Amino acid sequence: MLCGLNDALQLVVMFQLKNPALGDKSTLLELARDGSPINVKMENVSLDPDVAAKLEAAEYDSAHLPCYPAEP
Amino acid sequence: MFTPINGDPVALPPIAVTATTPASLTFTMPDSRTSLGRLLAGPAAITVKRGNVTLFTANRQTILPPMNDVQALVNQGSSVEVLAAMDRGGRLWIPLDFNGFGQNGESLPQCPTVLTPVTAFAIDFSLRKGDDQALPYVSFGQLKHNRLFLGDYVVFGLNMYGNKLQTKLDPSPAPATRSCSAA
Repeated sequence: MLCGLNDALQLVVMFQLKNPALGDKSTLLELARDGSPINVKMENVSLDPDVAAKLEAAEYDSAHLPCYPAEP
Repeated sequence: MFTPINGDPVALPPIAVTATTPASLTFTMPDSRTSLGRLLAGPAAITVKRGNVTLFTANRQTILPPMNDVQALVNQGSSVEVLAAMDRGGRLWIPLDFNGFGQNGESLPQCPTVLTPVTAFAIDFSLRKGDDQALPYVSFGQLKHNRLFLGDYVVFGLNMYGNKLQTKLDPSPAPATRSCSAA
């Protein structure tokens, strides 16, 4: 979960894939061998108010930063 | 020139660029859809020439796909796809753009910059091979060891693009959801 951190306009997320991703039998390599980008599927994407309400109940985000400014 | 892993190189038409300073060169990577009719991303080599003279070559570059518009994605439906690039080290890079949520976020007085307002949304994601097949190349542990970098982010007139953040995303589930984000 991101909240207080993610007020940047743009972010790039990077993570290491498992070793077989570069192996001879990698299906991922096969997808990208013509230079095509990798498609990452996102599911359960929602802006529903009830989802937002649950997120807004969180005090801290995943970077352990406060989600909302402290009350004065 | 794009240099896909285990694939044939794909050359882009040359473009004219101008040095930003005597020691740096900044340019926007041309969209290959314009020149080649399809989008390319991933490993690439960049050669800079003056006339026929090669000034330098940068071989181990990774070209990201265009920024994924997160606001458009979350309004698109419950199941969407984002574009990513894999480098030669087996790292996956996903560029995310939050401009669609607006640019009226509150910045600190001592650090004036353009930010997007905090907007809550939820996302669950997996790598995808075909219609429905997830690829077995990501573990939860690797997700936890993600890295975050800034995209275009101008503060005090300096663009901090590419700067690595000290923090990471923690993919731990939020209450009553599998994973979620808020921009």
